[in-house]
Amino acid sequence: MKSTLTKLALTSALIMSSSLMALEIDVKITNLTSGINFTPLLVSAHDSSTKLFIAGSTASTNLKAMAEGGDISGLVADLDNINANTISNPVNAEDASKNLLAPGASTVASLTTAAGNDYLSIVAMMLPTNDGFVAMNSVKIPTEVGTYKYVLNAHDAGTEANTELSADIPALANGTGATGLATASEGFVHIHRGNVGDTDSSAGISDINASTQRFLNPVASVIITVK
Amino acid sequence: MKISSIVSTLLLGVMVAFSGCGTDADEMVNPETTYSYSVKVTNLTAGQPMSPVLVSSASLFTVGEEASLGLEKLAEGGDNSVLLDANGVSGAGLLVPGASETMSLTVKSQKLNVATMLVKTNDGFAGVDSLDVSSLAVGESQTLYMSVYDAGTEANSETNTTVAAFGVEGFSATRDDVNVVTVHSGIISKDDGLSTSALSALEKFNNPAAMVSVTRTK
Repeated sequence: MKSTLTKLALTSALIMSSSLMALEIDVKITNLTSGINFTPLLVSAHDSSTKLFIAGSTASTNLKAMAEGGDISGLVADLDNINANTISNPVNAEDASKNLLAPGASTVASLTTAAGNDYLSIVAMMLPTNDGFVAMNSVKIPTEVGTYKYVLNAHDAGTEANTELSADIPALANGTGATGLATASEGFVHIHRGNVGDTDSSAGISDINASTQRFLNPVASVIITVK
Repeated sequence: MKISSIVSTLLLGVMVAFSGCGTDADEMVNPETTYSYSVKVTNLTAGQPMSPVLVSSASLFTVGEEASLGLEKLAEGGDNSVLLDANGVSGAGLLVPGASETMSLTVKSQKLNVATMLVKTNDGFAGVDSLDVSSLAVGESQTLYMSVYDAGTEANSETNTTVAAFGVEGFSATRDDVNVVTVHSGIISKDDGLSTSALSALEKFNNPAAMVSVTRTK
């Protein structure tokens, strides 16, 4: 199971000494986009050698499941296996009737990190996209008490062609579709190029709405409060 | 008094070097102390004129919350008059692509806010909310880049009857969009397939759209 996460050989004395502290942190995540929903968020504190993906490299099977269908269970299991401190779907924890973080909305995940789990990762699928996801990828958690702000970019898992057709995207109603925009996936994780869209939700080159469902970076802000 | 406030300012700077806000140290700053700043704004877009830039010590917008009427008027029509008060200063006129303008203000706050409409959009504006400049000593500068936000108050139709740049009344009291401030999704333009758009590829933009350099002068 560990092999599905990418392990890096980082064993400096500095990292080992900083791993001895447990922290209590609040992680506030805001969806900055005007028309993209985030599916259930995964927020996890883990050791310095863990990354959910490496930009430029092939996505793991479990990252692919998250990016294409919003299913974080595989990544959660991976992280549980290495004793990470993980919060799944904080939106649902705050309001049981919700699973999506809507445009402009915020949610807070409160974590107590075990000693050694001093790096933070956040991922969630972006809807509607084929395999787009918002990501913070293994960032060192500050140890001083205070408030720290970050912005996150949209990534593309590279596992599914960006057809933008309703048949390929969970959020869109099933339509007849059309030829679509791309017939092959890119094969590597990268910064998302954005949705193209058009004005027809069931025909043309895309079923995504060009006026309301495009996006630019940054797509999310994160405020970490170290208590 | 002056020395102690400077010392506490320096302490605050150390404490919040990576962060947005101080807590205990804030209380040590004399509330009557004033700070002077010169704020230089540069339009980094290819073809988006910017409305007279507003720099203020008062918060102008919060992402995820409804736009105020004043922000709606700025974002839809470039009119900063509602938001402009004793806390702020306005640029002299349109800031064209590539141009810079420097504004000066003296305020009690160590947080600054900036907003300017991208004139060839429905309700897009470049801005920064509650920029913490408390770490600046006199003579020091800090530079940041501004993203483009969508006021969420007007649908992004891109038509020549709704976009202020075409000489129409930009502001409309009707709110027919998501009604929260978000990061702008960009314009489509008629060159990129939106046949009803009055905009061309020249007006497309990406983030960042403007650069801001703040220098503390007192």
